[in-house]
Amino acid sequence: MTNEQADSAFQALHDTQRAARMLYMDLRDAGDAAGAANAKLRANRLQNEIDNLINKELADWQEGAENVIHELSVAAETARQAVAQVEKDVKNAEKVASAMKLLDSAITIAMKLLG
Amino acid sequence: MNHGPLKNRVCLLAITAGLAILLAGCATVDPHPFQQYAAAVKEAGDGLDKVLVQDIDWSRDKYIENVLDGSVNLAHTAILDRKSAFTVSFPESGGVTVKPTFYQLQDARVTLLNLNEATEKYINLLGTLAGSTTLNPKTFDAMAKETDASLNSIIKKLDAQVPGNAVHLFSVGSAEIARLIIEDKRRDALVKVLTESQAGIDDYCLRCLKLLMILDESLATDYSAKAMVLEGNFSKISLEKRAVDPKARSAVEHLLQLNSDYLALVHALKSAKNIYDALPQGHRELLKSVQKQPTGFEAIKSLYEEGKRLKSIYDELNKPAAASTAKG
Repeated sequence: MTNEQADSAFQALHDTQRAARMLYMDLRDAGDAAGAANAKLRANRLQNEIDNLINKELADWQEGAENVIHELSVAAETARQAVAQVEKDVKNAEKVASAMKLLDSAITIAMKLLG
Repeated sequence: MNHGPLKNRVCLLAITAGLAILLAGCATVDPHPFQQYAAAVKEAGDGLDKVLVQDIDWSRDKYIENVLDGSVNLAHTAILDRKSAFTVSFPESGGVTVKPTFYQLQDARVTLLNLNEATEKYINLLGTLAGSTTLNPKTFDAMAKETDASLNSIIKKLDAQVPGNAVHLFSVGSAEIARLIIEDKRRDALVKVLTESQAGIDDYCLRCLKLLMILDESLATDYSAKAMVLEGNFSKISLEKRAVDPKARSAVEHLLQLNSDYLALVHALKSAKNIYDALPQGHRELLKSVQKQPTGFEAIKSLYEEGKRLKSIYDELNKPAAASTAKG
């Protein structure tokens, strides 16, 4: 059942239940106790159907969400490894700095020669 | 004629200019969109959880009301049964387990918290990669100082007349080059992570949108049940007594406050929906920005604004006046 289908089903049940409740209130206010009780009974039955639909949607959602949690955990692990890799490269950067110092020495010699 | 000092200066300026061009061409990853994206994800997750908590409360109230008015059988819905070792089940009716909705909502909340935790962990790691926190600035400072000392020693030896500005650029040069090497690694890592995780973010948002839809339905039915109880209390008081009976006024006051709460909750759901609709596009914008492709960050900017809006809505909902009416 797609999101739209589930929501359409809910909307239909909700609209019908609202109509049953309005009817219940109107009949009750008009003093028609038996009619009001019948309308209330139907509203309660519809409530049961609505609860069943929502419960089913929630159960389906949970099942799907568990898979997404796994997917996101894999993404987080990939990102964590990438962070670790970049941190390792800080050491490489230190090597670059050492090379730069050697280059500085070479420049010193070159400048002496130029002078 | 001795051209030594002039040649020295030309040599140093040439190196300095080369470094300046190199630095200008390799801009670092801008961490700002990543921070805004992380803030929006956090606000959306928090907002969704706050609405869920409120709905659990309303759904629980509805269940109690239904038991009290006889439309739900307490024994058939609330007496738990041990089925096997360490396994307790809700009662069954016609082969179907009958579990009140608020329990399902509680279970969904635990899943949502895990879902948000996994997402936030991922987003925060992205932020770490995009920011400068993984790199120890002290390391670069030390490198810069060492290089500085090295250059100063050259200048001392050669007694070269080097402009101050050139010394400054050159002295940090090697540290900056080192930093750029890290930035390139960082960018490569971000491109890989963002590309590989797009499907996960798409799925995450779809799941959250689905939950928003369920919550919208659940809130509607729980609101109606609460409103019916308040209306029922009001209708029990005869027309002649309503003007003087404080219970009549109280029922109306509670219904109006319930309406305010419900409207705010729906507003929060709608705001969260806007965020989850835009999060996948925002994620794509992050990738574009890292790849230096043109992006105006429209989705991220609107995500950030919507996140702030959502926070203000549920901050308002959390005020004591709203909380008290939830039980109305």
